[in-house]
Amino acid sequence: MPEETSVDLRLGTWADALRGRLRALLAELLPDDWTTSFSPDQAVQSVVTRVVRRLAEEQLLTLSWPEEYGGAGTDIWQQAVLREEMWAHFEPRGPQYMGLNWVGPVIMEVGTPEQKAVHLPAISSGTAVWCQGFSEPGAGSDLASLQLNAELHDGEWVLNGQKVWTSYAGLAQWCFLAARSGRGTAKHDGITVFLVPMDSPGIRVVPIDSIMGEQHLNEVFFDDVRVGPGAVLGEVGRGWDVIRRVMKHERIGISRYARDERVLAALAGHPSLAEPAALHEYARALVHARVARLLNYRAVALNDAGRLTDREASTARLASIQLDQEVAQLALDVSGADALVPDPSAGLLGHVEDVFRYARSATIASGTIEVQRMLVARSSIEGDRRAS
Amino acid sequence: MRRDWPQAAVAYQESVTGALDALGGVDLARAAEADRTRREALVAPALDRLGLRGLDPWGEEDESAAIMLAARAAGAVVLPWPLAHELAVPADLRGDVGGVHLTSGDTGRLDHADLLRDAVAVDLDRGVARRVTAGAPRPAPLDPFASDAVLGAEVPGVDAARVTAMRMLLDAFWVAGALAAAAELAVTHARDRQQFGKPIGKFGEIRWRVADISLALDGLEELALHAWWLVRRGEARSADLLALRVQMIEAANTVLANGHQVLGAMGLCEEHDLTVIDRHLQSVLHRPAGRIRSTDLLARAVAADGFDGIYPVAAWR
Ligand SMILES: Cc1cc2nc3c(=O)[nH]c(=O)nc-3n(C[C@H](O)[C@H](O)[C@H](O)COP(=O)(O)OP(=O)(O)OC[C@H]3O[C@@H](n4cnc5c(N)ncnc54)[C@H](O)[C@@H]3O)c2cc1C
Repeated sequence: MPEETSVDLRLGTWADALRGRLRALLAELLPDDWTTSFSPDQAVQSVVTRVVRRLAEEQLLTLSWPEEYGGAGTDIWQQAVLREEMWAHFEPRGPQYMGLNWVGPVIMEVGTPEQKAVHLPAISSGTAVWCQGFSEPGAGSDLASLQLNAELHDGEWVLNGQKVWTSYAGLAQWCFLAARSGRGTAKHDGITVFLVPMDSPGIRVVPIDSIMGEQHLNEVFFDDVRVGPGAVLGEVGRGWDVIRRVMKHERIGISRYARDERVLAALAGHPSLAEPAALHEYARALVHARVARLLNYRAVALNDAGRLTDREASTARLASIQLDQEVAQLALDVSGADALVPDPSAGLLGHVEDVFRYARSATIASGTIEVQRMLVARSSIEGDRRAS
Repeated sequence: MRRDWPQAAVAYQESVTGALDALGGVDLARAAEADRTRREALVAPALDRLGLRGLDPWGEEDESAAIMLAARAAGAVVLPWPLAHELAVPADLRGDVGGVHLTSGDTGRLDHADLLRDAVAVDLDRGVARRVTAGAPRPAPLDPFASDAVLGAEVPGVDAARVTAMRMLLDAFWVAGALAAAAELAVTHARDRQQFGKPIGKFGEIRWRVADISLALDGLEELALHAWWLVRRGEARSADLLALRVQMIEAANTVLANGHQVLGAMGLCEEHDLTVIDRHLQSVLHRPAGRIRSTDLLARAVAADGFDGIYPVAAWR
């Protein structure tokens, strides 16, 4: 075969090297029974801190960030491999993946020099935890109907209202907050994004126990919370533009298929797969995992080329989130009833109940499966829309 | 990563599409179904003008890619010709072998068996090629070009694994083309058809179906590209091709069922291309094995050989 072919689907030899390096590093740093990093538990968060510091030291935390912001300036494929390995190992960067995936990049795009100076070094050194204050009791899929009120008094913004489903709010130092600062002709008008310190007087976090575990989700109440004009990210009243940027970065955010591939590999040879019905479902899941990965790679490649549309972005997500639930269900089924109780001594398969609980949220978090389908259909029927 | 098809191959696909559309597109399938002799009278000369039957899918990258995209273009009009059967014959055997059928276990009928001279049937389970003797035509709505077929003596010198892989690859591109055409019909209808005072594509239920169609089709296209690339690199195992076949069948079921639903009664008419595409596709979806049997073959291959991935599955049998 000629050396240089038009089509080459390898990520590159460096990808294997990077994978190997990350796996070795995680094997060293993670406890054997490591599952979720999203717990406020001290022991868990000290592992997260250890991992994040080490990644930062080795220039792996901000691989694809530009060098001027403390990144390694590598191509997006290295970042893709990093995302895969992190998610496959239950995201040991903990809540910090948000800062790295989208908070930092959006601040780079629209932040003031002061905001960049304050926030980017903290994110790239792994010392800042962020939460996303978007959803409200009355604003879920219909995010633009949000109501948390922002009013200017004597040169300061006063925030009043409630956020809900805010992940890691109890751990966060900063909130990336969407608030209503006015009303325009469309409901997207009059939204402003604020970068709010979580220790501001008047903020109250109330944890919500959920199937994902305690304190993953929270309510956050804002009662006369005051921030200066320097807290506004982007333009006042044009917050929807900022939110769209967040969504663009978020949509290729989580590489769910990577953990699903890892779970499937761990199930190989399981005695239950002697049952043809189980083996058939297992084989189908392998096909779906490969398809999900390839659709994600397509989205990454098109994003890199500036050609990503809703169709490719959301088909990648649809494939991933459906796979996540398929694999979780299968893994629990194949493992049998005893696996309903976690078994820290049984490696990855001792944690399929965790995978299962978490997968329940795959089709709801960051835009429901219905919304993803709407985006794909709209793109097909009404013409492609750039996903940026 | 470079995932764009070579320009030359894309240009060739366009010329194949243009030539087949000029001959009537899906009407060719209707015409050949009404009178089988039209396959040789109408289709063969067109393919010869395009030089398609002489190309080698194991050849240079541009040539191989051009064949895959041509198979896709032919699938888009469910071309009444055993193109994948012919092209899956390695160049050095083309003098002796006229086409490749795939079988799994006993079979009494094969598609286009009456047309192909000196065809062989490669058995997926046993990996041997046998001579095919065609009998009487047995056309049926879901198998328009079926003929009786008797499998005879083993034919030596056929690399069964190699030929099987190529045929499965070509089938996947063929089906992807047909499904893309079906998807286009559904999407256009969702845009144009009005009920309750608005285009039906505004209804959530229809959008849901359109999204599932797009997802199934895109998944097949990506997996086919990937499998082709693996075959080119000599890295494809039988599980990789069987995985492609399983995805192909699942995608077809999703696209065709949802496509019909979006089109309502109109899509069921013989006058509508969707019905012709649906009927004419069933043969490749069920030969050599339908969904359940193909999944079973995949499952066995995975257990025996493993399955590649970022976390590779190790073999255990
Ligand atoms: C694990 C997890 C973590 C989360 N973390 C955060 C966070 O950190 N910050 C944050 O702000 N939010 C967070 N969320 C909230 C998440 O963004 C919302 O749950 C999501 O946007 C859906 O909103 P909702 O739950 O209010 O459901 P709703 O929007 O009320 O939807 C209920 C149902 O109606 C359907 N539906 C709604 N509108 C339509 C429509 N037009 N057509 C068809 N069907 C429709 C939905 O698809 C869904 O099936 C998190 C959620 C989860 C599960």
